[in-house]
Amino acid sequence: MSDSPERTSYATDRTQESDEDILCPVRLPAAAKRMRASGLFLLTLLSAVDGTLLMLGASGRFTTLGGAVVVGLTVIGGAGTWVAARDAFGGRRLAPRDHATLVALGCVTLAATTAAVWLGSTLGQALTLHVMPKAAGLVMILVGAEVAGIRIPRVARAPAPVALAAAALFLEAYLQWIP
Amino acid sequence: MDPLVGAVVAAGAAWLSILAAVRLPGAWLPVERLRAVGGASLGLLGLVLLGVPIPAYVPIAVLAAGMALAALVPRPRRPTAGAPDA
Repeated sequence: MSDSPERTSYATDRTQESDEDILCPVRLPAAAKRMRASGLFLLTLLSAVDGTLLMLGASGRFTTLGGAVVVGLTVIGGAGTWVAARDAFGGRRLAPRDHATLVALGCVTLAATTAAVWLGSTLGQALTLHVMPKAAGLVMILVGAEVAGIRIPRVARAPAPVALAAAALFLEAYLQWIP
Repeated sequence: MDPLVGAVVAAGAAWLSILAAVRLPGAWLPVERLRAVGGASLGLLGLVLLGVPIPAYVPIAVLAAGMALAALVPRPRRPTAGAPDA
């Protein structure tokens, strides 16, 4: 074995490089991590923001255990959310910051879902709804088509499900308050 | 059941499913298959909401069965370009 300084330093550098590659997990840039986590937040909270959960709450879909679980696993959760979660956190060891992000996601999801369902169920109990229960079904079908990859044209720059939900809310309000 | 309790159940089910997706070891499902399964389950839920006589458990059953099939059925191999004919 050669003991020349050049070879020794080269061997040392190579050893340090390989040890670092082995011991250190894959490091994503911080900005990339934040983007992936924010995408997960967006997908999980989308149904609370676009009126889907409000319409489902008004339709009484949260009054049975099975109905609540179905909505949780298909609307709030679902394939897109699981892919985003896998993309943000899968394949690596979770750091304490990742655990905090997941806990925050749970808290925000709970708050948004509860608020949307409360508003929707209050509307459903206070009013006799004519349009929203059926519109909720159409919105679900449109969302399912978009998730499956079918291209649905936008309506006034808004996604078709959002436009339909807004139109249903407007029409319902109009039918409730016309003399 | 009170709708607010149902909301807590729904949010909890969604969050637990996200945790399961994060913690699952090994290779994940192909994205295109997952999207198709998710879209189908959402479409069926929409039909249930429209009043079509479909049992309420069908969307979840389709989601579970679709994911199982997507995981078990191997992806078709595409022939490589320029492969020499036998």
